[in-house]
Amino acid sequence: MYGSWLDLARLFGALLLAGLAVKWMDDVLDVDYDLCQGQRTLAARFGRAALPYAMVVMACAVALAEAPAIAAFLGAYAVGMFARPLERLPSQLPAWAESLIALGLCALIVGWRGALWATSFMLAVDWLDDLVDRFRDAETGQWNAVIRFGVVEVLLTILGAMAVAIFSEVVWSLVGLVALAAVNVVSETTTSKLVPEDRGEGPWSRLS
Amino acid sequence: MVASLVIGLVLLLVALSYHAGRRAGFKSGRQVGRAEAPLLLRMRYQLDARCPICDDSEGLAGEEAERERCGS
Repeated sequence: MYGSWLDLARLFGALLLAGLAVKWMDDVLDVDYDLCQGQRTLAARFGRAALPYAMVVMACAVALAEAPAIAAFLGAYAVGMFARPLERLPSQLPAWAESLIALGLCALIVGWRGALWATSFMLAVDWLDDLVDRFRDAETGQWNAVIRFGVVEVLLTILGAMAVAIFSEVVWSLVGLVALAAVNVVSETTTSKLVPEDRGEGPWSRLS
Repeated sequence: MVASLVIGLVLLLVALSYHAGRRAGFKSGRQVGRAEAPLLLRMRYQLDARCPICDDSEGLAGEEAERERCGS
């Protein structure tokens, strides 16, 4: 399907832009936590204007390659609700119901393989992020899979989810990992530190 | 490719089992701790002749502390 270099570039661009849109919207939701951690993200700088900008970025991602961009967005949406599945959302639906609707929509638009890739790849990426941020989240009290379930469980789940993602869409998974690194680079370069970062591991250094 | 799916599912199962084992271990550890803590506290009280929690023997006079030690 993605035999030529141009198709690979389009796939990379779509995943990169979709990842940036998801990250930006996530930063909008977590702007208070990030400020509490001494980080002024792009969302804090843009304020309420961040949402339309994120939508423009997402539209560009869909224009580049429809299926992977939509799968990445809906997968991130579904996995993001995993933290508090019983919480009532503004739509009056519980979070688990919105996750199922998002996955159903994803399966309708891009097929079951795309939906499986979206769930497994985004779960791996989300928990990988939790693994990196576990000390900071322990200080601010933000929900974190590593604190909730443990390091070994999360590492095994990340490996398992990556294996399932590779089963469902090999090329998307490989290009997605490169795009993930690029999204992190963009995110780090656009985030300013309000206080000097403490390199100590804190009270959770023996977390296991 | 199916091998990848099988490996993924096996890893997820291992993670679930590990988590269940860890929770069971915490539960049994808590039970053992609850059973052992009073015995250890009692042992420290007998050996040191003072309460290991509030260290109350300091404020008592000699005879009073002796009576306290004897439990009368």
